[in-house]
Amino acid sequence: MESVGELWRRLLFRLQEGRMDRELQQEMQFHLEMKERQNQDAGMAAQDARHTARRQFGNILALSEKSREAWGWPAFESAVKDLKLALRALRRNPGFSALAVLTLALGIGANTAVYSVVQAVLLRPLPFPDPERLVMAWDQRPLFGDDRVYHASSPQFFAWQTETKSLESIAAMTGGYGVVNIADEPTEISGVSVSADFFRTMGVQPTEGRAFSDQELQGADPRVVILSHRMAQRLGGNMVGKTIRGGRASYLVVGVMPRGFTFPNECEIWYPLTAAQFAASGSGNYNYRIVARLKRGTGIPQAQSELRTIRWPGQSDRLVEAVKSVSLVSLRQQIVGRSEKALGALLGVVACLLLIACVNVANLTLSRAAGRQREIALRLSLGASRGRVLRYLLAESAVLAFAGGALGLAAAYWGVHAFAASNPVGLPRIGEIAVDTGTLVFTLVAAVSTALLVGLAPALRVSGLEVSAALKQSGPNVAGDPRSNRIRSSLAVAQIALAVVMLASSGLLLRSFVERISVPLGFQPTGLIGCELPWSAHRRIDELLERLRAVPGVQTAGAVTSFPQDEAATRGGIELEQQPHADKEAPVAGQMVVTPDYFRAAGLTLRRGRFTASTDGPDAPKVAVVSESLARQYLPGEDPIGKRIHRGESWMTIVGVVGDVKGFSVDGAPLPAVYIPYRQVSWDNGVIVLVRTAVPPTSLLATVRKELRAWNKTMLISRLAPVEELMAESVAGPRFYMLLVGVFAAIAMLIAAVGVYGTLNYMVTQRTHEIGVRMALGAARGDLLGMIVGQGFAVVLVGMVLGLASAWGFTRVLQTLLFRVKPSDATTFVATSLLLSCVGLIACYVPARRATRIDPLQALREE
Amino acid sequence: MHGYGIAQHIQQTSEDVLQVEEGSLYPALQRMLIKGWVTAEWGQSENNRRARYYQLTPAGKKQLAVEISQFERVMRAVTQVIQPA
Repeated sequence: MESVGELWRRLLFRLQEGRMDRELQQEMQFHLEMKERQNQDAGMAAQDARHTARRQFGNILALSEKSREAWGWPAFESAVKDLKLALRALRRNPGFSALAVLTLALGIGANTAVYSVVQAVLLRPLPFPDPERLVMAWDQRPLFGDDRVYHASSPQFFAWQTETKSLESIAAMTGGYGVVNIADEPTEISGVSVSADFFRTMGVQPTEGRAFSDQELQGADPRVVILSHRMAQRLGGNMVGKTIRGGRASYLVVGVMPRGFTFPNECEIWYPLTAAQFAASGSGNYNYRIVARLKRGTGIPQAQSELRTIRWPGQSDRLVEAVKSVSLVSLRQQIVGRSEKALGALLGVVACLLLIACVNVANLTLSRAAGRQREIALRLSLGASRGRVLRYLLAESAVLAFAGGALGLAAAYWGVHAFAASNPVGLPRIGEIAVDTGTLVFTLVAAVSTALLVGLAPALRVSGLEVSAALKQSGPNVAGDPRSNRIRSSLAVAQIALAVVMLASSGLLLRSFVERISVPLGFQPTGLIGCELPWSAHRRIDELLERLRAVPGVQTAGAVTSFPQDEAATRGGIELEQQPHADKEAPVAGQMVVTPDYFRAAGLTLRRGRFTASTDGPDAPKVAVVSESLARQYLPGEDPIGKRIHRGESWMTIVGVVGDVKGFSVDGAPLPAVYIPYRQVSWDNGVIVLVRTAVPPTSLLATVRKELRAWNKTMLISRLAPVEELMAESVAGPRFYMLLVGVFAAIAMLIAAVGVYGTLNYMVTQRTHEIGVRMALGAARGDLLGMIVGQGFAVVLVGMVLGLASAWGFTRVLQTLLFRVKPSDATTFVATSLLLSCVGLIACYVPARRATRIDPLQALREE
Repeated sequence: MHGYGIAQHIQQTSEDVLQVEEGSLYPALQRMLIKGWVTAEWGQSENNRRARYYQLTPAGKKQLAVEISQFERVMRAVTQVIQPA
């Protein structure tokens, strides 16, 4: 450590630097003169005496430099000096600098952007107290495709609530949206009905107003709501005690949640889940999502095994089995679990991009370093230490990296906000995204590592530079410096390998996207208009459908409880007559209430029996139509027609079998489905109206809207659009990932191709003389071309093999983003190899061709 | 003593065994100045030339004692190792 006195002296010396330096020079001069005189006294000639004195003294410049270092803060000062030098050198070569900065900005920007998303979604703790004690229940069976939330029935929830010893509190949630009139237009927003302990369980209370009271939770139809901070602001602020309208109903706002609390699913409005609602749903309805808070010191496994053993009234034997597969999963896992792997993969892809960018800039720097060999040798011989020259070169790459980092940060800032605003992949917690300190630190780390990576190659060269040889060398040597060529070739190999990884990844996503959009749908989305109406619309649905059918251009219109392209809104346990269920999964099916025209409007195919008909009235025998997969799964090898199926409280006879519809579970096998005639059961969800048109659907949209409004002036009309457009939304996520990775991969390939081209071009230029000699000696142009291309392509080939091997490993992390495509998909890998071979070949051919066009005489003269 | 004198002294007393690059003395002197182990003053040399004279400070003497004792320890150790027992 430096003492105070030492610091003081340093400061003093620093302030009088000019004088100190002069005095030092005088002192050294004095020394030299004395020595010279002594040598003369010993009998040397004057000239000789001076030279000997100088030799004995050593390098005056270097020694003065060292002395100066003793006074100051040399590390800092030389860093500043290095930076100045670097800036000057980079300004002299604006083309190179701009290219390098842009390349790095691209790499660092992409990484920063993805990192800020990762940070917001994955790394930041959930905004609840003790979030690690919050859990949700889910079903391990893969029945529900992607949606892993366990939907409990109300008796089950009450049994858990009363008997649990490991949970501090437990709450049920149901529903997914609410309606609020914003500027008199009914608007659908994310909303949920919650049971009494919801806010206590989450550990978050309203900041304004209060939570729901017991009376409100007991009441049959309490018109009270709690708003999110954002929604309250949007409606004008200070909302507690005010009345808001949702459709035609009005609600009293009793509370506003703190900013940032939007659980679950970016929720904007919370309704009370009342005792009456609980009572109305029987044991067959699995409509409740469960969130719970573990007691302090209780682990997830402990609570899980407890819940698995709790029984409830009316629980069938099969449900005893079923409940054994209940799992508890931390809320964090539940919220971000699925995004984790996708984002991890994305992070891997952009890291690849940054690496490629680094390698490319390193390659560029190396070309410059080769041209500056003499300059560096000169610096070394004038007394600069190798360390000093190294620092100088690193300063250059640092300037490039930090300029790239700053530019990248700006781009990331812009990109992240655009991303958060559109949220194309429906990421959770997207509102929490910010370019903050964590992001800045990340960018800084990325920039520093970039600087080191970029500076490494030229630094390697300096450390092995033969000063005298470099100084003597007048022009490029005959075969090129083998050491430098080796580094450049390795860099080119690395670039190609990384590009292969990225290309393979984007290829897989592309294939998977194609797979996804080419799955047989089971219905006809073309020429179909859909819209969603509130539940109450079912009461006069016949009248509405008649009206729509009367519109010119409309073939038919039907109504149902879920869009065919969406997941079923209601799913639950069904029972089948005489079904040997002992060793089988409990049958779970999507349940759709339909009007008879639904089937024709949606374009479902009839396999056996009949569709439901208008004759299936309330007094007629209860019937149902089932999907092919239900018949195959639960009635294998039997004729399903005439079999009886149990749902809720009544038995129904199967009268028809229809083809599977993809939408119920896009990613997995189709979810078995039951279609129930609307006049035999209660309508249990929103009303989806489907209109089959004989003319292009867009031309009828306005008319349909007019008809709907004429029928009801105030109801909420959502998602009114051609069904094909609505379906495009469901593939928006995969499309986005595919585009993103595809664009990154294309950029990577371009950079890699430029890198290979640059490397080869440089090697060829170095060998101009050699090529001239070969041609003068009679080598055929064709042979020379083959030789050069062959040597270049060898580099491409090595890179490709390495890349394919790494891609084989890397694409595994893409698994969650893939749909029906294996991570090791052969087609993709072959296509990737072919594409890169072509690009590589072109990158080799262009410089090779130019080289063989040289006039041998000129090449020989060029020295 | 001035820098040249120090260099001469080292050469002569070591009977020309220690022949360092003479100039390397100056960075060392600058470091010692900063550390406060020596002070410097300009004066007249024997043959009427301006020269910078260095003087050990008390702190410098203390440091010297430390360095010498350390050096002697190492030397003793080396001697013991290379001398046959």
